[in-house]
Amino acid sequence: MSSAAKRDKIKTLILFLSPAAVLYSVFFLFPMAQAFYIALFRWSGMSPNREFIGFANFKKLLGFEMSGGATVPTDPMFWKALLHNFEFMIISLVVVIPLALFIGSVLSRKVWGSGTYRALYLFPNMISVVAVAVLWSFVYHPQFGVLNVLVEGVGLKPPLNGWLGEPKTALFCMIATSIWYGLGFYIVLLLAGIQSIPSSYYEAASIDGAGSWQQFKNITIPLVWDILKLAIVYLIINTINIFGLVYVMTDAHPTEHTHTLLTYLYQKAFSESDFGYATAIGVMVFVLIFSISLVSLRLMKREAVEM
Amino acid sequence: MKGAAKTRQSSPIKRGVLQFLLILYSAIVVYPMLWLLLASLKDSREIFEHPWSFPKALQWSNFTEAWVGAEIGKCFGNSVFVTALSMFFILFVGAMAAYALARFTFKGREAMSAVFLSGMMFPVFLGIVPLYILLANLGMLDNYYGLITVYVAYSLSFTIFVLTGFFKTLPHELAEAGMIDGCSSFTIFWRIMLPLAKPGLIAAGIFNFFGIWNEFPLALVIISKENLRTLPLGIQNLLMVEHYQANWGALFAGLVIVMLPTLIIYLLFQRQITEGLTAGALKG
Repeated sequence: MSSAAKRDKIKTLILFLSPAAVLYSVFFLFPMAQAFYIALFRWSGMSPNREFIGFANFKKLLGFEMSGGATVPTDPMFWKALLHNFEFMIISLVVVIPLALFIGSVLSRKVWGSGTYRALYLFPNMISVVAVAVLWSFVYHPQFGVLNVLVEGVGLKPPLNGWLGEPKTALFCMIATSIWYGLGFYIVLLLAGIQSIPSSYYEAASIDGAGSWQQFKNITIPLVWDILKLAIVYLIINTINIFGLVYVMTDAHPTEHTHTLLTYLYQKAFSESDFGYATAIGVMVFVLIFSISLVSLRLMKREAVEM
Repeated sequence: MKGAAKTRQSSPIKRGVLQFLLILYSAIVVYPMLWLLLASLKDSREIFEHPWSFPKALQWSNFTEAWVGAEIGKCFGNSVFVTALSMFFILFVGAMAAYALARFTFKGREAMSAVFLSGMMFPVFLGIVPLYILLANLGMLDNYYGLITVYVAYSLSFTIFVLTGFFKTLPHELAEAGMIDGCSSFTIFWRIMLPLAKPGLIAAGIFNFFGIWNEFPLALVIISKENLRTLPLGIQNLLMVEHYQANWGALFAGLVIVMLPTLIIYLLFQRQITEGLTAGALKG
């Protein structure tokens, strides 16, 4: 290439790449990277004074102290929030994955209206989480909520303060809402995987006299394994990243019964102006997502099945 | 695929049971939204006394109250503005970068693609405090341009990923023909390549639309002025207000207003949305 042509190419590359590179570095990568540094400071509010304290924020987040003869966490709220995220994660995994697999494989058969069902099931996932959260706070409403009517219908007593006001039920109600919101996405994902399995496999199995369950277990599951893994990792990431739903359904004031990691981070940063500490929570969330995803991928490792 | 369906015919009873289960889940999906639609047309007393019934008289005034009184109309305008401008810049800037990454060979190309791709790994809130401080220092807090800039920056990873895949599939001959005709590299991109990449732009555009139209956490952090609120912020605020004022009809009308554009876009692009989701999954 002549040097003039080369100079032209470089100019072109700069013209095309620099807007994206600048925006992405300045407003995305740089803040993300800076978080790992700011997490090492004690820094309240917008004041220019910040004090380097090493890993003290992390020690406080993860540490334990003696208090009244018992060992208690230095930041009990962090552990509660973490526990709530785990509840979100475990319940979602147990409910969403089997349901999505089941509905996905039903829809992959020649059922009447399967396209319509698929479109319908995916729709909640397209709505704003805020709208979903507001809508469902009325399903749980103490005066005119549907859930009350259903529960009273079978002769039980709904909680006095409403489902979201009652510490024992609030979190589960939010988990149920998040499942309503997300299930369709996983159905569509797994359905696509199931549909990519060649029909001849099922034909051969039928001829050999294998029933639906055997076909599901021996053909569907192994052949959608890769997409199943993907779905599980997505679900894990989504349940750790949960924010809007909880923030809105708790009226912007989560309690020790409803806080999740990100609502706690938000409160620390923007209500209490504890910038360093809030950022340390963010780093923990990042580490958590990264490690849980890696571990679950490792656990689900299985010989690839050739199609 | 069709063969599978044919041979996997099951007994009528089994089919009946499956059909029943599918309808049951459909009811669970539809019920809250149907209830919302009915409630948005009742007055507050009727919502209280007859939450299950059809409205006696249609209270269209709920919608004017939400639109004007509760300023959902203002929020709607803000959301349209922010979403439209963000999408324009995301697609424009993203397409240019994706084009360069897909069609030119140069040193560091792989590394650069990887850096853009890595953005999909970070949780939104990891960098939220540094971002907040950066915006404050630049005077971009609490204004549209700060929000739009952040939306563009946050969406580039995904957009460049999708569009790079697309540009790679386009034939080389057309660009070469353009070069011979003496077009500048930008003209080739703008006049020849971009129109060819239209399906990719539509796919990336749809997902960015839903992402930004519905976006909540970043808007919550960046916007605090009332008159700049986007729809999700407006609705969240309206919920808090109505806990005291109990003008439920207006709140429900507001919710319907938020969900309507989503429904329309969803119905229009349903095929592309499902295909986009599944293609992404099958490739990944």
